[in-house]
Amino acid sequence: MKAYIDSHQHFWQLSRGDYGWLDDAPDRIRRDFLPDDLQPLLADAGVAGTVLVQAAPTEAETAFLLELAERTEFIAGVVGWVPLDAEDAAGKIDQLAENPWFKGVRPMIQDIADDDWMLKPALDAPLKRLIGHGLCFDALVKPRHLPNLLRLLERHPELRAVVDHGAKPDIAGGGFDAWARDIAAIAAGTDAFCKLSGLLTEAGPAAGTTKLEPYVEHLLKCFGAGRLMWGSDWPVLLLAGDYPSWLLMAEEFTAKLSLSEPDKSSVMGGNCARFYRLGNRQSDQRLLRLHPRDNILVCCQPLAKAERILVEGILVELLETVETGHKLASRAIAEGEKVIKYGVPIGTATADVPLGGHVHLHNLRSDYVASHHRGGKTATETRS
Amino acid sequence: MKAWLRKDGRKGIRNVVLVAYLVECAHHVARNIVTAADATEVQLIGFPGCFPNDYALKVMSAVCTHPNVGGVVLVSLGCEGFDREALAGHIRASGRQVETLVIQQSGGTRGTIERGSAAVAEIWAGLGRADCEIETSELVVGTICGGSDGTSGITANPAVGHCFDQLVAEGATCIFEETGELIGCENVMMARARTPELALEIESSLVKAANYYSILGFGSFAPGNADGGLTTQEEKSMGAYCKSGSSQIDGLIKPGDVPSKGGLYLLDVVPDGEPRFGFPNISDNAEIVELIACGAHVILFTTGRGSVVGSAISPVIKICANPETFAMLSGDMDINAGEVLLGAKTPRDIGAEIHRQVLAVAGGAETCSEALGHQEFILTYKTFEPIGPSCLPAR
Repeated sequence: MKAYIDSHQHFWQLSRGDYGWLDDAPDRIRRDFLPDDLQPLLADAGVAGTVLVQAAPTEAETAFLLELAERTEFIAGVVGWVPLDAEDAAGKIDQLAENPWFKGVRPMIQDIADDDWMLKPALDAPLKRLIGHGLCFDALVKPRHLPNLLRLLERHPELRAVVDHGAKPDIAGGGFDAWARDIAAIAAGTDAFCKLSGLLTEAGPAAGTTKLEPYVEHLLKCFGAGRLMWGSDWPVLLLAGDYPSWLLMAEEFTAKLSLSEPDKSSVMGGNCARFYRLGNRQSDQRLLRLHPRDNILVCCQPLAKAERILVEGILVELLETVETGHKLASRAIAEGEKVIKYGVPIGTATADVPLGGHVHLHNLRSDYVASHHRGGKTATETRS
Repeated sequence: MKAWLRKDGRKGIRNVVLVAYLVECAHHVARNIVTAADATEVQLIGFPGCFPNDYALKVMSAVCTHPNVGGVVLVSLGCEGFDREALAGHIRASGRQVETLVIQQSGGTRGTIERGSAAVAEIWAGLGRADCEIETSELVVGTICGGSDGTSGITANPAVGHCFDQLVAEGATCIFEETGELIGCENVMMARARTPELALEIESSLVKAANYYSILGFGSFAPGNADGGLTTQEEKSMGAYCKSGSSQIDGLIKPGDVPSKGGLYLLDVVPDGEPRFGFPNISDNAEIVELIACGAHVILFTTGRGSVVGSAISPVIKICANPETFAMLSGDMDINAGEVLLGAKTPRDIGAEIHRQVLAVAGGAETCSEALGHQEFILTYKTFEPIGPSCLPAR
């Protein structure tokens, strides 16, 4: 069975009104593209999931994409937009990091007039926040940005970065050499990943496999099968091709460049899942997640003290017996943080709770002013 | 799905004749008419009070003209306050057959039972066939929980929420209720309202519920809840609230209001004004009647401890939250949501199962409570102000 993951696709709804660049785009892509449009293409192609990437430099669009992710089964993660040079950028990243679908940010570097923008000191703090949360950085750059990108990644060696669309080499104009040198320097000097996407669009109309091959071969040589990830860049892809034919072309390249089966599956999905840390958080099947945003899991059966159970991919030893219907923290919850069940706050933590810790009256209080309670007591007081 | 097209244009998934007593004094006679008919499609309903009540008239009118109802026999003693003329006129105006029998003018008990039985037979003979199609988008589905336990909020209720999301996406009308059990969910609910004005209406309905219940002395959060793993009031309420799923809330209605278009609606069943006429929501059955009065074709009833009630008017689908209860009462339960606790299925899986069952039942499949002949019905005194202009979406 194929387990392809599309590392790069977009949705847009023109009436939202913040896609400036689409105003001048050809008719073929200047219409709404939403999950129902992509779903059948994925089903036909055997693509199990996608990473949805921002297409407008607004926080509103990121909120829109996260909403889509919440109600669309195949969206495995969202790369959003944050005003990285704004004063409160770090705080905004903290907030977004709470959303389980939020996987990273993508500033639209290719559209920023100042080529040195990415080196501004103002970006240091927010980029450190990304690193702290384990979030990713999508570099939407052109070949001329590559030397600066190298400096940026050398400054933040822990930043999980991916070069979008192989840095968009000018395939139509035959601009190979400088691009090849600079992208090789990024691959050799950093841990960055690279997306095998967008190349057809750069190759111009009616470009065949032959025209793309040296570029693909070079990317594979530089990043290896362990750091290259296939993506469609749909619906921008429609300017130069369509979903099935680009997928087929990518499969042909993997065959032509003699990739082994495991290497091929890395490029076609595995690397993307690993890079963006997509849904690899297994829990004991006696623990129930009611909503993707929850930071607790509900026990479906009694769990005994000292039992070792898997919580979100981590083995935890239970400090006490936990009965059916009770809650365990699915991640560390800090004192003062909201406890989320059914996707909404059910109260505030009154103490730090470790991952796998029992969440109950001893560390959670109601935010609700229980004015209707008998004797004016809160739930917690009633019990004691 | 085949349906009965009524003369008022509404489509029913069942074809029921109602026998309604308009005061307790007519109850026995009405019951005997139903017993004599000996058919599961004939259901007894009624209002016991002698003093008239606008709410009771509105609900009775709505139930008697429900799309699943083909015709009605009204049984009056003769001197009660219920406005039987208004009710009969309303039913007749809907194009349904109606026969009013007044015991004091119809030969007493024996004579009225005889004439009532003949009336049921005549109405029955005049009912048409299910010869039109009904789409999922035309269905009205209500939900209620009763006999809840610690499992309700983690298995059956979230599963109904998933089912509701799917139904709403398909254009159906979904109704959830019991604001008294939603206290603490105000902010979450208001954020889902279609308009800011509707959000305020929702807020005031919850404030009203909180006041009403505090006057009656019902505290919602009990120590037993904490033993079952619930920590806060809002958590407990969310356990009931999650039946509503995650769609936008399109409107707020009161008993007898029929939503004019698809979407998700909150039914406010808590009386307006000071508590006056005894206990509200005396049983789950009153809420089922109110959902039916709002046009519900099908009711999704979640239960942990096990409830057995039902209705001939609108089939009640039982969704059992607790696997142990399911094992004990499997003959009464349509769906075993407790499988979630065994790790075999997720609430979303059960939601899909409920959705399939809704369509099957709408297509004629019998629910357990229908097969067992359940016909519980209760209607008591309440008072309501009409809903405000921002409560319903524009047509």
